[in-house]
Parts: sequence; structure tokens; C-alpha cells
Amino acid sequence: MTDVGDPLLRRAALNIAAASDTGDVLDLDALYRAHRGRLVRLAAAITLDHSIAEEVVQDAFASLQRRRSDIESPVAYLQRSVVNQSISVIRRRHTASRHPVPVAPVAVNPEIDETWAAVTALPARERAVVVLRYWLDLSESDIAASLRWPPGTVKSTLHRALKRLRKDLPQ
Amino acid sequence: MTDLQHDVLEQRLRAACQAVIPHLTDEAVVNNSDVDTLEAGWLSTSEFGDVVHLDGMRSRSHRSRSAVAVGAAAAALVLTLGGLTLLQRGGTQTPTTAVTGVSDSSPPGATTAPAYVFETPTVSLQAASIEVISGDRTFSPTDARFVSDPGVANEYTTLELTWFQDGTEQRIDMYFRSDGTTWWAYEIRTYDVSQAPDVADVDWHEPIATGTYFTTALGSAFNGDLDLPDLRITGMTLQAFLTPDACRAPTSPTALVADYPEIDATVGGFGATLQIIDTATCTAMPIAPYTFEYTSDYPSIAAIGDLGWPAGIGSAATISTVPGIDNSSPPATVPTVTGTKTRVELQLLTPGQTTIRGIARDAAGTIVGSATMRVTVREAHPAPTVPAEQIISTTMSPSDAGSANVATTTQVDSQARAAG
Repeated sequence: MTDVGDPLLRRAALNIAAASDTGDVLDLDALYRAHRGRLVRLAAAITLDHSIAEEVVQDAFASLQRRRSDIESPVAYLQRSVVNQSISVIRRRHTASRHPVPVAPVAVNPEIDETWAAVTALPARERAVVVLRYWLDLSESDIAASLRWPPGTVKSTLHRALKRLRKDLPQ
Repeated sequence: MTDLQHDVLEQRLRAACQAVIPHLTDEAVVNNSDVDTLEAGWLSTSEFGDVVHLDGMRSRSHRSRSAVAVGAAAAALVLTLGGLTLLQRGGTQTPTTAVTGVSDSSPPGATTAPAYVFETPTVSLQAASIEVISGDRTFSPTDARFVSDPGVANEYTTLELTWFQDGTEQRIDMYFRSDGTTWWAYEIRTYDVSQAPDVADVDWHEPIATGTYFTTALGSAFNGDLDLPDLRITGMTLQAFLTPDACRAPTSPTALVADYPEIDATVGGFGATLQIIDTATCTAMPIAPYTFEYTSDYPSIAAIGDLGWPAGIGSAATISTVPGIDNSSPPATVPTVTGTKTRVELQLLTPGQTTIRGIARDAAGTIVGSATMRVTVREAHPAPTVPAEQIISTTMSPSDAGSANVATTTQVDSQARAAG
């Protein structure tokens, strides 16, 4: 799949072209190309549903486009939007999780399979913090800043997640 | 059995995240499965938002004990309300109300009709008064938009109200479940967007009330009041999991039901889902082994495709769960899914109206059901959201742009008709 022909990108470009200048088109285009894939994977890791992840990222870019004049750090905005919307949407549309989807065809060892399975069983909010902490390697304070959550909330959420994982993943 | 040491656990988590997440691409989505576990875990996260458990609810409800009792109550209300009948679908009555689909903000306490009537295909709510309390302010729905996540028949659905008042967006969301015998709300949210200035922070700011509310026999309505710190509803008649039309007077053992028979959305994407209903039990059936065919009357307005397809949107698609059936009609990479719903991504391309038609066939190729989805596509962004200085920088005024879109749509539409 190439982003060049992606309908979403085309749509975004069309929308902007109707109401913006060339510079904005290039900015969003660059942002989209640089970050869409990572954001979709981030959303998919939280929602466990690729379709929902795509929608969340689409919404984040659409929101960014509408509010771009007010947003100082577009990438941070996109990431925050994706994480919070992923958590929110999975609750609202949790029926999507009832649709069994293929397990990632990743050649991994059993320990990784077991660990990831435990991560997928976490509540969405806890999983989000785990993903930010151990995939993006953000510190607790970075996560708090990124999501605009109180630091204590990040700490307690991560603590709960690790406690649950420790229980589910015996030595 | 010994728990993992902290550093070992962290190593394993890093390794798992680094190994798996980068591969969460179009073809690889993780399987999760235990929705109840996930949901229960979420609901236990009590520090987020203002969690109000059942103890915090001073309910003055009187609950329907049977369809007969509700029917009697409905009949009484019919008289009281001067001819308006209470929604009581699924019972022996299938009455309607004169104000269905209208949000009326007239003062509560009126004796002639409920002030509020919201009815979606799956949920009906009538009330004398609805008040959202946010700090020292009180909001009541005015010209509210309302929608339900159709969820799964007799398993899960929602009612979501949105309105604008005093320059801010207000929401009430109710989430329902059913075990096939009773239904109840397991969560109620109110949302004052003025407290959450950006969609990016929406989840963080939503107050949450969790518990078990309104438990009522399936097919019956709950009558009573709700009194939560953030939400008060009086004179309420609430029924979730309304009986689908396909189950009221079934003409075949199965029916194909569109979750969203009327789609009214802006240019963008929309996930359209169909489910096969066993009309005897009115429950969703597994979609295997069936084949689903989708066509769009005017693909220039709404095409069938997936966000992941580079250019693979088209006028038709086939999704099959039958081994050996080739999902090769354009686009070629329609994912096969299992479960109780089949879904395609609609690409809403230009403003206009069209119809998406769905057909389900069994493994022998016999049609077991058909459904239509009427689609209205609107402009992506209303004019007020476009900064004035950016309009000036374009060569086209907003009205010109709109005209151009309409003209294009009409032209393509005509071409499609001629081709068809």
C-alpha cells in the first residue's frame, strides 16, 4: 500500500485545497506521510482493531486540519488525540472487538506471544500506557505530558497494568 | 508459582511491543477477545471521571414487571396524554407517537405530551424533563441530534444525544446490554464539551456513571426517574433493544438487517455493517458460511472500499466466509471477517444521495436476505470552520466551491444513470 494513492490523503488534500493555501497542503501532507503509519499502529495496539484504528487516525488528522491554526505542536496533538480517542472509541464501539480478526502473523517466540496476549487482555487505558511506555519508550512524566493526564494517574495506571501482567505472566 | 521480577517483566514488555506493534499493519490486527474482561477492567478504573455507582443513584423508579403491566401503563398514559401512545414495541402493541424523532424543549411538567421524545431503531426515550448539571449550570436538550450504536441485536446498543447550548456542546450517552431476557444500562455519561476544549481530550473529561440501571424485561419499557449528580431525568419511559421490523412480522427464517439503514454523513469514510437475524429468536446469526454482496447505485457519490486500498474503491464488493469463494470483485482485497457482522468501508466521495444494496447468499448461492442503505453525503466541513483568511487565499469562494461540487456530482450522477 502506498500513501500516495490513499483515499484519505486525497480527501485531506482536497479538503484543504478548498479552503487553504499551498503551504498548508504541504504541511499536512508531510505530517501525514511521516506519522500516519506509526499512529495507525499505535491506535491498533490500543484498539486491537485495524478498522477502528484507521478511523481514529483519520479523525485525528481531520481535527488537526480544522484546528491547525490553534495547535502549536501538531505531532503531539495527533498522538494525544489518537491515544485518547482510541481509548474512548473502543468503549463506545466495543462490539468491534467481538469480530474475531486474524492474529498478527508475526514470527515471534512463545514468550513474546504470551506477553503480547497478556497485553491485549488489559483494559484499553492500561494498555495505552503500557504501549507508550514500552513501545515508544516514554517516561511516566512524558506520558503524562503527552496525554495531559495527571502524573499520578499515569503512575497508578501503569502500576495497575504491571500488577495485572505480573499476575498473568508467572515466572 | 512466582511473579515476574519487575525488570524481567519490563524486558518482556519491551520485547513484545517492539516485536508485535510494528507489524500491526493492514493484514495484521491483534486478536482480543474477551470484551467482558476488557470492559470490566475499564469499569473498575474508578479514578477517571466522576464515577457514580448505583449507590449514588437516588432512583424513584417503578419498573415494569411484565409486558402486560407496561401495556396497562401505556394504555393509561395514552389516556392521560390525550391520545399519544407509549412506545411499546415488542409487546402486543406496536403503537407510535405523534412526536417521534423530534426534540422538544418545552418546559417539563406538561400534561399533554412528554417534553422529549428520542427514538432510534434500537432505543426509545421519552421524558418530561432532562437536565445535565455541570458545575453551577444546567443544560437541557434543544434540537438534539440522537443516534444509537446498533451494536448487536439483544446484546448491546447505545443512545447518544448531542446538542448545542450556550455555545457549548452537550452530550448524554447511555450504554445498554441485554442477556436475552432482560436489558439494562451499564453506564451513563454526560459530557460538557466546554470542560473539554478539544476532541483530543474527550475521553479524559467525560464523567462516568457505572452500575446497573433500569433493569427491565426485554420487550418492555422502564418507567421512572433518574437522579444522578450530573443528570436528572423525570417522567422517563425508556426501552432499549426495540424489536427490529424484520422480527415483527417475519416472512422468512432469516433477514438481512443494515445497522444503519439511513446514512447521513459528511464526505469521508463510513463503516457499513450488515447482520443476519434469525427472525424467530431475533438474534444475530454467525455470518459464516454466507457470502455478502454490496453494490452502490452511484459509486461516484459513495463508493465501496477500504481506507487501506490505494485506488481500490469501486461500485461493488463481495465478502465471503465460504471457503473457496473468491473475494475478487473490485476491490480485490476485501478482508474476510467472522462473527455476527459483515462490514465494508464506504468512501463518501461527493455530496449527493445514493443507495448501497446488500445481498446475503448461503453456501449454495441462494439469497437469504437483502437490505438497502440510503446514503446522503454532505460537504466535509461547514463554512464556519474555515478561517476567513484562508478562504481569501483560494481562488474559489466557498459558495463557488459548493456549486462546483454539486455540479460535479450531478454530472457524474447523470453519467452513472446513463451507464446503468
